[in-house]
Amino acid sequence: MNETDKLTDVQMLFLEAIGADKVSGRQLREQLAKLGWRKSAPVFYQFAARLEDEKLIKGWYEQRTIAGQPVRERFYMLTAHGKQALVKTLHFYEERLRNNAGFLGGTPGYAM
Amino acid sequence: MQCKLNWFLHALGAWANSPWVLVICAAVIAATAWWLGSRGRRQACWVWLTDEHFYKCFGFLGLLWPQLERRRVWPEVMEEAKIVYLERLEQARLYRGGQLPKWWVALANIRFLLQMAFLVVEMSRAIYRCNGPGDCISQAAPVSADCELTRPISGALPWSGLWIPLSLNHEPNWRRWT
Repeated sequence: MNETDKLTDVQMLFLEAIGADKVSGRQLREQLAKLGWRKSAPVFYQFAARLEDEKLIKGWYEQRTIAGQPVRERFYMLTAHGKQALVKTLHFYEERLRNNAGFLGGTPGYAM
Repeated sequence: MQCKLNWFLHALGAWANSPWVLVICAAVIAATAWWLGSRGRRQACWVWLTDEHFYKCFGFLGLLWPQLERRRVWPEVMEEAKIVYLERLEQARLYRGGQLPKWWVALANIRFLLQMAFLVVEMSRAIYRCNGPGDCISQAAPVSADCELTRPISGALPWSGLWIPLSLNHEPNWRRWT
């Protein structure tokens, strides 16, 4: 596996939280908070922008009207490259779990 | 009599010696003078504070960080804050069944103002810090040990997030950190 293909835990969590369908930034932030990554909106959108730079996710605005006022809501979706990176990373860690040499004192193939 | 007043004199001396008390006193005096001095200005302030389009005044804050992140973070943050503000207004209107009282809008706007202040500081921190190992991925700045640092650059203190953009002008190698 290429070094740059591996995702960090937060990146994995982010891509996993997006899931298969499109999701709004606000919903995604709430979802991530439930999963334990509670961050303010600027940190969240900054992080999303960096993932967009890497073409792991796709972001766009959708127009809505609330209280008679037009607002633009940001939506996100996984790209094919993002899905591939997520699956590759999961496989990488799965392989590590299955084939480890018992470095934590247990037998190889321990369950956490 | 003198002994009886000692506690009072000590307390007075202690208060008068602390500069923050002087600053607060000066602020209270200035605010009172301002309040009593101009009815028109006060009314203008009240009109501004009770405006239901109050949230539209904060887009300019994104200009504080124009080049470094290509202005992307602030519009997204602002749109979310706007949605939350407008939804809250709409819910309150539905609950009350009509027009909202001015004091309610004023409170909502003060809350929005405080939230904007918080978001500005948070955005500054988000741009100039990495959130964790490998979070600063990009072609220009590959994942490296540098990105694992969670302290701000240029030796700035955590609370001085707003000053970091200014000091960045003198940081020749800032791209390495983003």
